Amino acid sequence: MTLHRLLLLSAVNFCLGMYGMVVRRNVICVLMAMELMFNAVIINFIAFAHYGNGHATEGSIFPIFIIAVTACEMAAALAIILTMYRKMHKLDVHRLDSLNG
Amino acid sequence: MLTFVTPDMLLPILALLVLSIDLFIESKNKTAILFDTAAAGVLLIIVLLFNLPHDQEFYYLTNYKVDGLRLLFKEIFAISLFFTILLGKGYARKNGNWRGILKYDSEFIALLIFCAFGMFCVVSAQELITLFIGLELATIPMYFLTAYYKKDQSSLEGAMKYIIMGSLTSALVLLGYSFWYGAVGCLRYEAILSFVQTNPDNPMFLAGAIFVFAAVCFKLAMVPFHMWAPDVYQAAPTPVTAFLSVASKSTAIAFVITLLYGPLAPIRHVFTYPLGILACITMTVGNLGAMRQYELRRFMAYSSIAQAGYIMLALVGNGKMAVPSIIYYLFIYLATNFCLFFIISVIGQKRPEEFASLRGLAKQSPALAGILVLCLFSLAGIPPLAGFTGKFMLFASAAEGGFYGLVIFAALNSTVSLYYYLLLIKEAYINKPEEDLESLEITFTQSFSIAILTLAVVILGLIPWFSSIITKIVG
Amino acid sequence: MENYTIIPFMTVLGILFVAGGMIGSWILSYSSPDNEHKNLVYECGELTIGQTHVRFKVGYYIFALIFMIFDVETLFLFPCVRIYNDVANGLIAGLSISTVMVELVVFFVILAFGLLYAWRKGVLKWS
Repeated sequence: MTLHRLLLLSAVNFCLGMYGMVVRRNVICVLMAMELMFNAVIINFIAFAHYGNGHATEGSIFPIFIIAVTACEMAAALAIILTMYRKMHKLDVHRLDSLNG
Repeated sequence: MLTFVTPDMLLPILALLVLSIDLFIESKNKTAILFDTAAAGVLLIIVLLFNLPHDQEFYYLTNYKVDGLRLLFKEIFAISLFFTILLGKGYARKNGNWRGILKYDSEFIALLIFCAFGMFCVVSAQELITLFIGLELATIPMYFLTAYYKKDQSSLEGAMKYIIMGSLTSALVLLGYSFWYGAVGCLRYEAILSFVQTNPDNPMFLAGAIFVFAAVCFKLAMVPFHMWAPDVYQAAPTPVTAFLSVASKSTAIAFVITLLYGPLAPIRHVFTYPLGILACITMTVGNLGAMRQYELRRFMAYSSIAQAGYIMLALVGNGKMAVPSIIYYLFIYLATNFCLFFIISVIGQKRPEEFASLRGLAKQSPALAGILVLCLFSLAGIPPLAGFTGKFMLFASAAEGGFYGLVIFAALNSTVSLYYYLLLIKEAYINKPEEDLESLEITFTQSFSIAILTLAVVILGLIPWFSSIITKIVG
Repeated sequence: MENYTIIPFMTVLGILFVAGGMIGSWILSYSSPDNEHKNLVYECGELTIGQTHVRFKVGYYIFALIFMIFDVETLFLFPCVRIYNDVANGLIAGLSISTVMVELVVFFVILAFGLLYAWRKGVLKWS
């Protein structure tokens, strides 16, 4: 394993996440794609912390904060999805068009 | 020395206090108690902020900086929080709004205060972790606040779009930070600054900067990434829309300024051209979009997209005037926008918040119609109102850098914007209502806030010492 | 100047790469607007046995959230543990043990308030 391979892995992960976010229609799947993007960033940080020549501690603590914050964000998203599902009985992103956006 | 961070510490305490009042006190008019406590607390915080010395620097635990620039931004956030709470009070009572009563008052207030605390962290951060946490803390409560009318399908949809866009933003920002960390090897601002000074064109660092920049464009609703703003503004309850359009926008601008005039200062010139072009496209798209609207909150969204364009134009100048002119304009923008939103809240009590509902306003309440005209003219930048002075300083800052073409373009844009602001005035003064109107009722809080804000809109442009104080603190 | 010729080349290549992928998938895929499989929670994998629309109690979701409070709490304790020895030995300037303890107490108070809030709102009642 070298830094380059890890960075490549994280780049592929990030792009897959971005692709999934654009293509998927189910809101839950969009959230999963989002999670993939955050995980790509976490891989980035850990890789730089391990192979870089800076403060290793800072790079390894940042992912913890990312995990916590992402958990909050997903909790928020799930709460709203739950309410939306009760209301609309559909989780299709393309149906979210009553605001003509 | 802790006095410098007392206001910041008081904010979460106030939020917890409001929540515990809701949990432990049984009372008939709990809503009034909650809103009044919160408003009094925030007022105390504003007074504390204004009393702090603006010419000193203070570091709390080495990575939380308080100085004049940061205090000014905090004052903007705190004042907009104060008026949002007052605005929300009108929505929490019966007949407050045609969309229904705003329930769960304590949570509403607490979320707003937590949001403001996140904004405080964004400006004061001296290190990327604090910056990231602050930015998320300023965003995540907004998701809930946008979905506050949970019976309303469009409200939920707007919130869902906001969450998807917001998470994408944070992913981009984080990717940018990770590249910065890879290049610099440290997350602190001073380390980043010294790194940028020694090697200004490190490709990995610049790549990170581009990601962070894109994320800021999302937050500010700059043009390629502006599509979420009108939907979210329309979906949210009006107090939340007001808070979004003033405080959230100021946060994004504070984020840009603290970065560009902090760690990224040596490579600031790299951003000049992209910023200038984006600012011009943003104001044009905002102005063109606003012409086709009939929903007031959507209209305000496009109007604030255009305003963000004007504000970003000042950063292009890259000179001494850039930061003071932006902060000065933000104060004026705060007063004008909140005044407009208070008027919208008065109108929206029984009718939908649309252009058509403004009809007959001049007959029903000449004072309110007059204030509406004042605010709209201020947003359009007509002298002698505050908006004119503010815009003049923004454009002067861009001209300072020699970008006369951009300034002329922006001035033309500002003229175009007068057209759609006049459309609103036409509805209020000329168009006749189709049916008989129910009378408008204004609560004491609303009339009090409108009076103060109108005074600010008129006076801030006329008194010269206000802008010179800001220039003295920041410049 | 030679170095710069690669930039337009890569730009065109990048645009082609993205556009080619999107056009290709648009040509190759067939569009199926709303069949029942697409609206399933999991689009691929095992077919479910029986009704998928079993109602889980919403309460479980809130329990999961409260679990997360304490889950995340442990995460945040890790950085504190990491520097605790250094602070105790005075290796970090401007940071004393008492400051760290105060910060930790503030953290726990806010966390505990979350639990208190959930308790008072009646989330913890199992019925």
